[in-house]
Amino acid sequence: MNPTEHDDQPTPQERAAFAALPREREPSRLLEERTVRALRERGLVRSTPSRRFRFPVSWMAGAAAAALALFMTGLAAGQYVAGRATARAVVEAQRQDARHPALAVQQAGSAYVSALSRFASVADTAGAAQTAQGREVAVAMLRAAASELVRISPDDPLASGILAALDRTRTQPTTTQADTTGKQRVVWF
Amino acid sequence: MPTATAAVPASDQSLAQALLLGGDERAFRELYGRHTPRLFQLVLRVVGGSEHDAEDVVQETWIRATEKLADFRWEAAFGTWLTGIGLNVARGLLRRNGRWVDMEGVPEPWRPPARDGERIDLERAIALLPAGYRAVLVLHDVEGYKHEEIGELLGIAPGTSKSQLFHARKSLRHALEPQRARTHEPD
Repeated sequence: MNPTEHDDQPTPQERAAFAALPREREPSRLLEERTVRALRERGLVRSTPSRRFRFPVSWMAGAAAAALALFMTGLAAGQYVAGRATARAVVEAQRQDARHPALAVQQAGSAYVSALSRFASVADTAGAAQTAQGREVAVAMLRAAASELVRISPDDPLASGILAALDRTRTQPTTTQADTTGKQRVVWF
Repeated sequence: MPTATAAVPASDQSLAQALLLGGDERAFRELYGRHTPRLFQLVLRVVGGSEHDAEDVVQETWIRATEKLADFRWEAAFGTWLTGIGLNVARGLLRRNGRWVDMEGVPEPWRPPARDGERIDLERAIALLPAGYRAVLVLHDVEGYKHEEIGELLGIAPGTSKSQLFHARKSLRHALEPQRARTHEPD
């Protein structure tokens, strides 16, 4: 052995440089899994069953209280939301109910005008008695309608005027209507 | 006043027992987590900086250690025993690659790689050393092992370890010198 080998010592700078080198280094995470798998394949380790936690009683009580509070909050929120939905449904139903009679009046009115129009087109060919009967029915319907309008809106001048005019004509004998055959027959639908 | 009792980590020996008797994976992972970072860094230096090689060595080291666990007498620290296995595995890898020569023979001839005038850092210079020099230098100057321990770990005489260290330091200083025309001839 060369004598100088025994005397060889690192300088303080060299010692410091060696001391500064890292002593640990993390390999990739995959290496651990790879190694565990290799050990499993050799039967040297067994798979760990899923970890079972044991919670302290105070933690369990807190968790139960939190769960209950969460449930109650959910219940209240659900009731609030359902209540709002119900109210919306009721309002909508009421709106629908208000709309339906108006629709019925419109449909009945259209049918009334349409029937009068058909009646006018056949009035020339129909007999005098049939014409008078049709006219009387039409006026009676008009009067009934005006009467309902006045009941809905007593201050409505148009409805009141129509009703008053019809009443006046009812009290006066109709000279144009020569019904000499006897009593008028009114057919109500 | 009552004091909080900190959880005492399981000893290496009790974890090894759990691994040995029941194949406890958690015990293995705990041991792995404790000792692998140091083992990996050491092996990485010994194999010359190849992470791929170092990972292969670490995996094989853990497999051999687990297989031999029943034979371990706990007369040395678990980490030291593991390091010995790791060095054996690393030597086997270097030998298969033709990079490990018999240390009891003549010193390894070594020519520092050509550089473009720049200085290289210590880590890189260590990686460029011949494998035998590198192993002894890392174990002695970086890890702090004594020549007797290195002799046991590498299966060589303590005198051989001293001789290898002498050549290793000389080569390292040479590699760390500023660039000049040179060729290292071992003494």
